[in-house]
Amino acid sequence: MSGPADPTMPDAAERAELAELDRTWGSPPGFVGWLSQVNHRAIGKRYLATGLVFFLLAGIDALRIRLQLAMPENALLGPEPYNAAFTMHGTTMMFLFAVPIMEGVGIYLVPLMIGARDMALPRLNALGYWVYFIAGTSLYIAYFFGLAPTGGWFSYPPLTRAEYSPDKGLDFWATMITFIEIAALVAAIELIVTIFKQRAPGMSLNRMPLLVWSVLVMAFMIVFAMPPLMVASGMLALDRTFSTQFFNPLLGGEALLWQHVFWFFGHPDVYIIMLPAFGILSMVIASSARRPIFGYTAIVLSFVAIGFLSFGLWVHHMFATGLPLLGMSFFTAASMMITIPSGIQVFCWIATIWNGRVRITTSFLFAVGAIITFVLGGVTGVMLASVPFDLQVHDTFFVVAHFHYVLFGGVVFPLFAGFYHWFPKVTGRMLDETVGRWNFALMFIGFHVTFFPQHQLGFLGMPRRVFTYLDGLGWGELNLISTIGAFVIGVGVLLFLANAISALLAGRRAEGDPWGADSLEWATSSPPPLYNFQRIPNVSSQNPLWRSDPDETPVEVELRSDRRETPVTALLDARPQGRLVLPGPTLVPLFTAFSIAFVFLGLIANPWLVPVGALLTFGCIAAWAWPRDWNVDDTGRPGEGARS
Amino acid sequence: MNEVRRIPRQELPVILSGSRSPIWWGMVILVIIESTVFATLISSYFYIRVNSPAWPPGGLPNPDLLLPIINTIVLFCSSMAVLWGMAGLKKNDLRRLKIGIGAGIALEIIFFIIKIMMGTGGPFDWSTNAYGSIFFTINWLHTGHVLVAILMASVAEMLAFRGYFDRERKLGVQVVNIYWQFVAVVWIPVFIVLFLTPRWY
Amino acid sequence: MKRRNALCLIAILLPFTACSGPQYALDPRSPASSSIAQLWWVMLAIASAVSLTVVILLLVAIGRARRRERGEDVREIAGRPLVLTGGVVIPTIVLLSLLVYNFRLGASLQSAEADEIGGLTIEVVGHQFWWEVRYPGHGITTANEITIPAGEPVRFLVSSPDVIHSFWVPQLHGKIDMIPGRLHTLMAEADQPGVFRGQCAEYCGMAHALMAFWVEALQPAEFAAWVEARTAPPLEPEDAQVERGRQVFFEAECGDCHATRGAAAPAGSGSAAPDLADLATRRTIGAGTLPNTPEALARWIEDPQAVKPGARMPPTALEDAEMQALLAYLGSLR
Ligand code: HEA
Ligand code: HEA
Ligand code: HEC
Ligand code: CUA
Ligand SMILES: [Cu+2]
Repeated sequence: MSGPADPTMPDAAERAELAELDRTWGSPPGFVGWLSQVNHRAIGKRYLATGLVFFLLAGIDALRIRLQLAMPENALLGPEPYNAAFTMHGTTMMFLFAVPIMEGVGIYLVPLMIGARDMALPRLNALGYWVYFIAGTSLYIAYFFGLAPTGGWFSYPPLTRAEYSPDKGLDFWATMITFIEIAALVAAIELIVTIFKQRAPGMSLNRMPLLVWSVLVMAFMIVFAMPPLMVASGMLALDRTFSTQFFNPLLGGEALLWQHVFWFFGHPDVYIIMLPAFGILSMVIASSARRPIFGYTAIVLSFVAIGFLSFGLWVHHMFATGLPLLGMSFFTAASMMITIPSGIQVFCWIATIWNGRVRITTSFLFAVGAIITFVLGGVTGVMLASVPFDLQVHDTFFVVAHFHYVLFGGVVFPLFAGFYHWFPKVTGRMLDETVGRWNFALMFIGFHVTFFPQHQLGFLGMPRRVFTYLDGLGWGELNLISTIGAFVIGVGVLLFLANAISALLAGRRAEGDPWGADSLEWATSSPPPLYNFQRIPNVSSQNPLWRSDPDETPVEVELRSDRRETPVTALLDARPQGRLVLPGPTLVPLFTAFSIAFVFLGLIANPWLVPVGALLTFGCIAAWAWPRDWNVDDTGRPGEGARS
Repeated sequence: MNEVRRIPRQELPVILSGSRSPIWWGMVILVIIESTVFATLISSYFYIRVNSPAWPPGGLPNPDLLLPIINTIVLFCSSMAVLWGMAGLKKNDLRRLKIGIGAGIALEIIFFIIKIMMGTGGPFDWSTNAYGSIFFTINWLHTGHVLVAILMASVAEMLAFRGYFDRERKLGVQVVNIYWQFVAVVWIPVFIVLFLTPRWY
Repeated sequence: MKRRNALCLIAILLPFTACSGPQYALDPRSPASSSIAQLWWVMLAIASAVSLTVVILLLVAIGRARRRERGEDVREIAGRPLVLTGGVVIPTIVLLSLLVYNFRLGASLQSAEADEIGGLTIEVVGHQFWWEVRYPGHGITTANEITIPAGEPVRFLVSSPDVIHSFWVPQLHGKIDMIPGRLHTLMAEADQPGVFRGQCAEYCGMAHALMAFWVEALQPAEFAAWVEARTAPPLEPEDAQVERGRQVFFEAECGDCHATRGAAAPAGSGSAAPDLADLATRRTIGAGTLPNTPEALARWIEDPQAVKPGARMPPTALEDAEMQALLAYLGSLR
């Protein structure tokens, strides 16, 4: 039995406790044991690794796109492969890379940052991952077997209805997109609950690290944005497989219904992936500047404001659809308003750096590159918000340039800043800083060489999604420059991979807190033990590793080490309220994910599989919900012994 | 630096219920998600409607009212039954809980059977036109939720029969109850939109 | 040519150099496109100022922090005024003025549309993957090429029977989507006579990339002459080769889809294919894909898919003599 956490405890007892914790939080050995893991860090790592693989796959498609466009009337890719390439590139980057990897960042880091041993619903967490994994791989398996979707990442009907796209590829797209949203929603529930109820004692809401705040806002945005997407992609799947008429203009259906619902999701989605990235930037900048972030409250309020405002902008993707001007003007105004919270954050970072003592690490370089790139993309966003201007450049390479600027500035560069920052924590090894600088330089320069000329291509009248273009339109040279840049980015990414692999094999060992940073994940070893913290830390400031409030009495909660326990605290002030007993390794989530996949694949293959899958799913969930241990209570409350 | 205050295990219960329990929050968020799904579908219904010259389009009659009204009453009773059973749990009355949930399940099964009797809800089906598609989807999505609620409640009922619940250990029923009430409450907008609004204007 | 395009890169940095191309939106040839281009230059100036300021501030901040790191005594900046001016006050002022500018421009573009009730109306229907063009006031139908009078506003009524396309002639106006089940209006006016290229701007399937068209603006008098010529009764075939080609045209079932001079497309075929009545006057065939030469036409007829994958026209194998006759006939359609 675990003893109370007594500082005078002899070493032997301490060692016994650690050994017991290791046993309790460990998983069975072997492949099956690996499949049954539910610990948040195992799941988080899988999300991160899978997301990275999808980034590479989508990047390879990007390089194919760029090769095809390198010169006029290129014969490298025909129209079908090209259309499949940009559809898969966009779909993968948005649905299989950006959103899941941000969830992965949250799942890996949030419990560490709030001082918990695991997340609230570990099995649900595993289910989310398996759903993501199955959906992503089936989409790619179909792609490799030639069943490629060709509708673009936003798949506008009627083109994507069965009359105009009879191939199975789009069936896979519609069902797998519906399916994968389950993963996003599950992760959102998981993250919200964990952040609400499992923060270390003393970590009131206003002491949460900014990354945790951004993940919380992101999770809430997922809760309101993903269901509309599921509805839209579900309606499309029904139109295709069960001949409903939602999007058939001949039978009262509405092409624009899809656009409204899709963008009601789509616009918040871009901020869903940007907010955690901004959380990462705030953490990286504060720890590189070695001072607390300037304007903590302002940044938190900006997150929340962006979260709210982003639900009022969707029509700016539909300015060319002939809606009434007055209505569209509202969305112009809203789009411009969202500039202000974005700008506030940028200036808070500048103020933090200005008053700090900056150590220039690769991570910091990526953060600076991110800010510069994001601002350039943000200002073109403001231009696009203008209706008359957008009518010219909508659906041209100007828009392509805009969104790659914000996506690199608001997702990719911050993620790389995060990779360099937390790699030691995750793996216990340091990445090489010299290679890191090259990595940054290549990606940054390559990026601007690729995408800056695309603004001009837009003005020259080059529409997006064209598999070829004729000579004499003046687009050739700029496209060639852009293609060269893309390969420079590619070399940069390869350098990162090389750096990561060599660090894993022979990198310098990392201490617990190699950067001297301020948040709780640095309070434990690198990599952390399976149970994250032997003693749950106590928090009395925004920067627990830098300062603590001498007037506050630290509390320590007593947890058992012979079963998985983590503290439950109050929503606002993180007062300890109880203990949460967590389930251990199990295969049930994996089976559940496969059963649900059965339902969705049934939609594509044979509708009769749907009820079979549904029954299987119900069986799994019943097995899941059945209480594992009827006698969890150990507080000796009255009436306990009455049951057997 | 102050002395550390240690909170012993006895003060940290493992059996949590209501808003103290993370699981309870999980169910609340699930209900928000589901509400967003219904809100999206209902908005889509009206979007299709405002762009349609007539409603219901294509000379279809208004949906029949009798069975849906009966169903509304049935659903209301089932929701009351479960609430009544839940109240019993407060007094540690497990028998009342069993009766409440049992009655709730029985009523929802009646609801389900009536739904099957209603069929597609008129001389059309999901492929007739966009009206048929959205009508059918909303109607049967709700029915699907009723089924899930029945299945969830059955698990809770089985546990109740095995004496799992008591005044403290009630998270399971609480969670089922949240879902149950959601399924009942969301029927009201569904009913109003699908069955009443076509008559109103 | 090469040099000039390489300069385009610099053109964004230095808003002086001009690039060109038949679809260059910043080389406007209409009041609407001019005012949009002007809006762009104003916004570019603002955007450059904003971005430059941020980048400079960022670099200065890093410089300060580095010096402090090296042990120098560097004064701290008051963060709050920086964030308030940079993040709130200046953006609010800039964006509000931009908003007003925008509304006024948007409203003026739109009122131009509402006012012109008279004038020429042209219906443009986007098909997968070509453009049907009709002049309801004159009873003219043609395809892939639009002739308009210069110096007067023209009303375009755009629609689509299949999927969404987008009608866009950058030098004349911004784009407007052609959405099945809807009818959209666009008013455009060319300042001067000239030829402008347009291209489908909404992804519409396999051959979306090759769905272009031309707009030719003529002096009003020339335009009147054009209308005259288009509405004159068809001429009888003047020589045997052309007459033979006409037969081939119908034997090879071209007439099942295409209307030609004096022969409407069969009832029920809808507008399955471009009207060929004035084919010989077109600049290009296949919606801007190939130059309109006999060799190109022969290639097109033999295998449209090889030229424009996805085009909805079947290949036709013809004997050489038949092909020559058919080409002669097609060449007579003007
Ligand atoms: C991370 C992703 C991300 C982010 C953050 C943004 C941010 C913004 N986006 Fe972008 N956008 C996309 C991803 C993103 N976008 C994508 C993927 C598409 C295309 C989808 C598709 O069609 O495939 C798109 C398309 C898109 C369109 C539609 C274009 C079209 O299809 O025609 C519009 C139109 O209004 C728009 C506007 C904006 C605006 C106003 C912002 C603002 O939030 C930007 C605010 C930020 C700043 C302005 C910089 C910082 C501020 C300051 C330094 C203060 C001072 C600034 C000023 C005074 C200007 N975006
Ligand atoms: C997060 C989102 C994201 C990211 C990171 C990127 C990254 C890139 N994108 Fe993409 N893009 C989108 C989101 C994104 N894109 C979206 C949403 C669309 C719209 C799609 C649509 O219209 O439907 C789009 C469309 C789009 C187009 C327009 C296509 C068209 O309209 O016709 C182009 C063209 O240049 C392009 C290019 C690139 C390039 C060159 C990169 C590069 O930066 C990629 C860099 C990565 C690599 C180069 C990979 C490195 C790997 C290797 C070098 C190989 C290693 C291999 C192994 C180890 C096995 N993208
Ligand atoms: C099944 C219908 C069909 C048949 C039969 C058919 N065509 Fe076509 N044709 C089309 C369509 C559709 C297009 C438009 C293709 C595009 O640009 O996407 C077209 C385009 C053309 C064009 C180019 C018009 C332009 O302005 O770009 C020519 C010329 C032409 N067809 C000639 C012929 C001839 C000659 C034959 C017979 C040998 C023929 N077509 C048979 C459907 C048909
Ligand atoms: Cu028509 Cu693109
Ligand atoms: Cu947007």
